[in-house]
Amino acid sequence: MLERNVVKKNEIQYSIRTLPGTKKTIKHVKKMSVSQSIYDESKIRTLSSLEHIRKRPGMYIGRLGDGSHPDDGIYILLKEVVDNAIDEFIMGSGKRINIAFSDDGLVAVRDFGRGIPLGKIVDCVSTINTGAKYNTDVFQFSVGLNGVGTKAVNAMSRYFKVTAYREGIYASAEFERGKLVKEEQGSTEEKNGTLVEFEPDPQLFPELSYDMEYIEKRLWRYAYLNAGLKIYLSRTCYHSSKGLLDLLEKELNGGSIYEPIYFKDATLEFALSHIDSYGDTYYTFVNGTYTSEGGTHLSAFREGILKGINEYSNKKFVGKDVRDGVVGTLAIKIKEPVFESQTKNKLGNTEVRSWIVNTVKDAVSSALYKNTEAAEVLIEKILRNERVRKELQSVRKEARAKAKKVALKIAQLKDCKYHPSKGKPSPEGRESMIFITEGQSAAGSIVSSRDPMTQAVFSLKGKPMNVFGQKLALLYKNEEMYSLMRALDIEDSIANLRFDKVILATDADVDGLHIRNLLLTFFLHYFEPLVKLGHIYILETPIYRVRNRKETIYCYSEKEKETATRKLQGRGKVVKNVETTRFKGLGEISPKEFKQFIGPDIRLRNVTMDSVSEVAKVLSFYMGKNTPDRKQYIMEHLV
Amino acid sequence: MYTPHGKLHQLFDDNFLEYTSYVIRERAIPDIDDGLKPVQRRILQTLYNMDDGRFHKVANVVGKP
Repeated sequence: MLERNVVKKNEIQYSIRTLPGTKKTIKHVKKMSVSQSIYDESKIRTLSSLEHIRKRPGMYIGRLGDGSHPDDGIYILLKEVVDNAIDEFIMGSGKRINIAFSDDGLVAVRDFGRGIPLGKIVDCVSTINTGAKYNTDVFQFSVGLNGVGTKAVNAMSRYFKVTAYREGIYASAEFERGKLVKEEQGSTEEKNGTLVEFEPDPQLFPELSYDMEYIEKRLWRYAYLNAGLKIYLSRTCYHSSKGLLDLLEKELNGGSIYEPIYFKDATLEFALSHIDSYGDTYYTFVNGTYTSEGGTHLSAFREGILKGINEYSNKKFVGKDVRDGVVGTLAIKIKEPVFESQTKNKLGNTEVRSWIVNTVKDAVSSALYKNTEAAEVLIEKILRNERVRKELQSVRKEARAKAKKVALKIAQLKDCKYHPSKGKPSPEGRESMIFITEGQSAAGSIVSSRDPMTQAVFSLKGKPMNVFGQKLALLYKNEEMYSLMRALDIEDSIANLRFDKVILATDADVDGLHIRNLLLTFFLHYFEPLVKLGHIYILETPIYRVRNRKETIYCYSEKEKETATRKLQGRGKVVKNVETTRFKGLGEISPKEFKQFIGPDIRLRNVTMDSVSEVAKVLSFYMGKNTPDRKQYIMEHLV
Repeated sequence: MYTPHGKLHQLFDDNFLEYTSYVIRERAIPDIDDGLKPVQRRILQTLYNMDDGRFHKVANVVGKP
């Protein structure tokens, strides 16, 4: 379990906890400073469990956050509650879940399952390590096994109310910040089920706002994983009748080259197809949790696909040729999942391998025998992959030989000292980054103001090429693209990336915007995972500098400029002299000034993408050969 | 994932429209008064400024403000 200990000055803390299944651990946190303090029995504290949750929320729900990141605390709270409702559905009771957000921040989740046994309702939501999920007959495959989820939600809510309905009788309990304030029982006409209402505590989540996009994403995921379940969020219904096949089709968006292969049994469900591109994409789930980093089940799945296809075709294809272009979804249910981290995004169970490999292999080969048309298309695609790979090998050899001749150094790159490498990520606080700038002048001021330990600079010459629709071989023919790829060291694998952050540092003018699009096209077209994993950032630099004699304010937008000007002009009758400068390019900002823009207060915008299918659509529209459509679009939207 | 306008789409769209609109308005459309595009007018102005009765090399025109 992840534990974050904050060492307060002059205080040494011991935290002692016992959980079923885990060893008794005693963690001693050493104090950094030398100053002495009395350390005796009085300093040892035992927190009640809910108190502990409030004190160390990170241990239970990861990050707190403010709702701007999909893993922020408030989404985890919602997830914990909905998970319980889903578990009811998995066990075959309750086909519907209602979710409602009210304006004052109250969230209500109502399921129509069996309802919490009325006598234990208070214990179930407030006593930690309590629940029916230790009892494998009642809940067989659930994610929440530790009996912590709802309790954490309870402890972190300003107001929390749970109501269970069973056969005409209801019981409810209300809590405030984890303390029981009211208990009720009576008769009701409501259908069986459980209703949980909670309001995240503003003390813990001071500036909270829900991003409905993230919530919708989660709800869709639930719908796909639980075919037949209907989730209602206000009036919208999230429902999928074909489960993972629906998810796959959504992701493929009509791009698949043959009819997807689909398989489902009690504990394993998968769907896969090929699209006309390179690289492979998977969405894997274990007991309903999205495992974004994959793990043992994913590698077994990939192995199974390869074996299945080789068995059908009676050939020995290489893994890479088979997998290039695969989009797959996989969901497994196992009784005791072991995750490699507390955030549950990488599975660690090794015993699942042979089971998954064999099931997938058989399913894939029998699906291909049944549908020979699809099989033909598939084999053709694999052969094409093989051809491209071999073709590329020869081009690559040539390019390498040429590069060796010229020099090993990349002229446009001013490197930094520290780099993360495979299996050895950068320590916290020393993440390295590379700035991709347009032109020498901008590179100049960044080079002289950067931190040479962690900040590298790569300067482009003019606008890069539009690579959309180009073959992989172009990477080796175009010098600029080749240098960039070499500088990042992503030629063989994205995992070799030499920097934690790749930052597009173009000017804040229209040509800069254009270069951003061109570079994004480059990354999306050839190195999509780079964007998917969130390595690409955009550097925001000020457009205006507003200053008077005493104070200087840098403004990132027209609006900020106006407020800053008003502020510096002062309130008095005499309007003070204010000088406003507009930066035309990064090169105009002097190195001394630039330091603060790439220092600790650096302003970065992460480039994120929502789905694989979106990329193809976006690129082909904005960068493709469809000039007439685009012309029409521009005429309609000219700003 | 499931909205018609994803974050990436939004980003591309903003960059694209901003750039194209600028190019069209400030570079590609001739002025209604004299039929000149901005870049052509700049060249004429530079030539006018440089003119002193003598011959100049064309290469010297480049880069003059």
